[in-house]
Amino acid sequence: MTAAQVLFNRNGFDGSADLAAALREQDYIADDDLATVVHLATALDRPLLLEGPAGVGKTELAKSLAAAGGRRLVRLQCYEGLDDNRVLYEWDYAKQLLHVQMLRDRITAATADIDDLDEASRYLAGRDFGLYSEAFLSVRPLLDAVLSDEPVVLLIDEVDRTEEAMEALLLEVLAERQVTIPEIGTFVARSVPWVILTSNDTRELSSALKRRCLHYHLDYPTPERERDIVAVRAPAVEDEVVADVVDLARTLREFPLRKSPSISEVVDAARAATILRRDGARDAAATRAILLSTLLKFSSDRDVALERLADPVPAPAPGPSQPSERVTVASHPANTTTAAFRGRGGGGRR
Amino acid sequence: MRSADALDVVAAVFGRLLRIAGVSASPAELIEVRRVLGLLGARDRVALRAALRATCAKYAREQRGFDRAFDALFGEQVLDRATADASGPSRAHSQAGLPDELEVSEDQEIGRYAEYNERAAEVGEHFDTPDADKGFNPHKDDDDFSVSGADNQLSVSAEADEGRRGIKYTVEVDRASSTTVGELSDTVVPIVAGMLSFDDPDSILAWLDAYDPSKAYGGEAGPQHLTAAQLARLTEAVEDFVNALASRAGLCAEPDFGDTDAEKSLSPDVDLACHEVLRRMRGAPRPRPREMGRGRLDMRRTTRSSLRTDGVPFRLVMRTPLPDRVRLLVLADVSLSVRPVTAFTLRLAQAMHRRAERCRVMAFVDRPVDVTEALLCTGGDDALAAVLADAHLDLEASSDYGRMLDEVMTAHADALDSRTAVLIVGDGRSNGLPPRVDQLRALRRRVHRLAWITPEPDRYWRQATCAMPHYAEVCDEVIVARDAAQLAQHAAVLARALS
Repeated sequence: MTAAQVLFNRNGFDGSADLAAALREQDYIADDDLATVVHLATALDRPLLLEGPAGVGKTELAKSLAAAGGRRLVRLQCYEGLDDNRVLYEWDYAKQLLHVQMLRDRITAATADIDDLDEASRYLAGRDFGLYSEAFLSVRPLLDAVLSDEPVVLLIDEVDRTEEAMEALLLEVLAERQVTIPEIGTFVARSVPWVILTSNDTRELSSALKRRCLHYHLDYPTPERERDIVAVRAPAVEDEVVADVVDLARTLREFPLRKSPSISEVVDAARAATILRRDGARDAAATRAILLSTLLKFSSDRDVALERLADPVPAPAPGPSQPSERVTVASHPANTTTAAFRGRGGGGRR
Repeated sequence: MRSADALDVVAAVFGRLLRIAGVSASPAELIEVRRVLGLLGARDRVALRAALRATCAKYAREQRGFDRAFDALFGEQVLDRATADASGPSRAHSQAGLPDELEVSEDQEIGRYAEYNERAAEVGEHFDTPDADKGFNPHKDDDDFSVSGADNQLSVSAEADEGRRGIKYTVEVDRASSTTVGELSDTVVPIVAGMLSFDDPDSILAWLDAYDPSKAYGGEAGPQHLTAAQLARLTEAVEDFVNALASRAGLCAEPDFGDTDAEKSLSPDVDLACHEVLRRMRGAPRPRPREMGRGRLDMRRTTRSSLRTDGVPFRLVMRTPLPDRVRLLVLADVSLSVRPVTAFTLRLAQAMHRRAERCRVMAFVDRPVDVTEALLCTGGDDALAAVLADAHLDLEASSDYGRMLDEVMTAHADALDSRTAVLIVGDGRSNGLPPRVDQLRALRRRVHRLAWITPEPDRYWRQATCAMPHYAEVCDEVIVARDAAQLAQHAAVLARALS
């Protein structure tokens, strides 16, 4: 396919730098730590759990990794109420029924010379019609990844949306790389899949799952890296526009918003800014208002942002820098509280 | 010893350090650490840090402990010192420089007069000490001596303990290249002199490389695995090493990670009361497919199972509502007016948090702040201090329940859903600001259950600034409790209200 394909050997990448270069080919810009961890996951054959806010490129990483490694991407999108029929496999009843229908004539012929009904029944029970074989399985993502002859990248997306029961189901697949089907037996992975799980941190995952995975917390990128990303994703946008938009996004992320602007939203905003500029120069305030609507998706967030942007020095709003400014008794409330509890537990610490 | 074994030891050491620092690393993860070390080596510390972090530190609260453990073992200052040492004067001597024989002679005269120091005289012959120092040693204990490079032989007598007190001979060598007792060196090898100190990982690794366990007891040939006793000794040594390293790096467990510490730091009565409440609590019911159960018919599953019986639905699958796990949101007032019970409030929140499956805690004075992480990170009194010191929490503000409810409904709407029970702890006094009972009503509609714990008995509710009577109408239950005993008394009522 590309040069990345040539670099790639079947067992993985030579090192984190090699991996980062291959991802770069796929327009995914990974920083050093992430490249190291992803390389480790491929080298150790461990599942990789990516956590972080929505829109920092967790899913994109899996797609890019699949493309860079020349592997097929098998995706399992998790949602609440997902059950094992849709995760592992399902018997294709219709197909089984059809199969028996087609065999009916042969069965009739085979049992024609048996007079006794019991004996015919016993005869049929002893026969294997191959109804419970791989041919009648509707393969769902997890089994698909296990059965696949060619190596795959298995993406289990937004695993925090499922219930704990589903996590338990994942454990067998992740740790042993096998799937057990009671009627047939246990399938062990034919090729070792690279597994990537993503979570938006809406709930704490069980520690059993976490302990089986390599864990990486993916956060919003540094401004430099974000500029690179936007430049790669939206090549048509001029550099100064990119810088402006990235700067605005960084400012917004410092505000107490319900949802901070994600990278994809920043890319959209950069595109929007280009179009606005091409359509003719408008005043900066109007442009900014439109950009805000691409970056922020809640009206309350928008209100907060407009308020803060209009007033560059947020006076009463609680910011991280505030405690140093306040020098009052109440800024050290620990004294009163700890005094109230002195001698009642917690005293072991010096 | 192969270098692979050395990596095992390093991985084990790192694991112990992590646990001392409060990161709960499992044995399986240490095996991963070992693989990572083998794969990456320690040349690129930045990459190694990222890699080991991915392997070991999986929770936000473990990151700091991980960093400290990593710095202690692989940190820069350690590296600097090691390289500085290496660049210093050469420390390799030939074997000829040190005595290789320790003779223990049997026949020796008894000391002739009281102050005659047998050993001083004997030893003195080896040294060019002034005569005045011979024969009389006022400080009998201070008879350490050192051997310089010129002395090939060193003899001491076993019968020489004729002083008034017993005399013990201790031969301390930094590193003898023989492990057989009585020999200092058995082969002509360069002896690396120097301290084997715990902050010098390179020399330890070199030592581990040089260490040949099969030599320890005479010349039993053949590569053997460590015997149990040797293993125990090695383990002991590693343990000592880790402890020394930990104490040097000032490594200690974060105040509260393990359950034991946590339980200890929680006041037991509050914890017990919360346990009582949660034990009786049931989560919101949630439909689960059950054969022949109660509830609505599950068409999809029934049809599916009927395919086995040629489309005749013998087995009916129902969506039976069964209690789910407990999900709890605690809103805790920490304003000055309820300061006397703040500690109780936060302890309650903390205990609830520790016990409930999914629990979020928000503290508020005039606006809610999610303090779940802060409560989780530390324990005991520190937790309370950490929560109150949260930058977003303005403790001087006047408490404003209306605004708090408003913000919970908008900014923290994701915390509310039909399966979450909400527990508000506070006195319901907004100091004349609008109480926004309508917002509480809206909140009640969005959540599973709503209960309120107030420290004030209901005879004070009618005061002008207190909106409790209005709030109480909306809540499923209002409990009056200002300490753990009262809470425990009402545990059953509260649990029933919340489930």
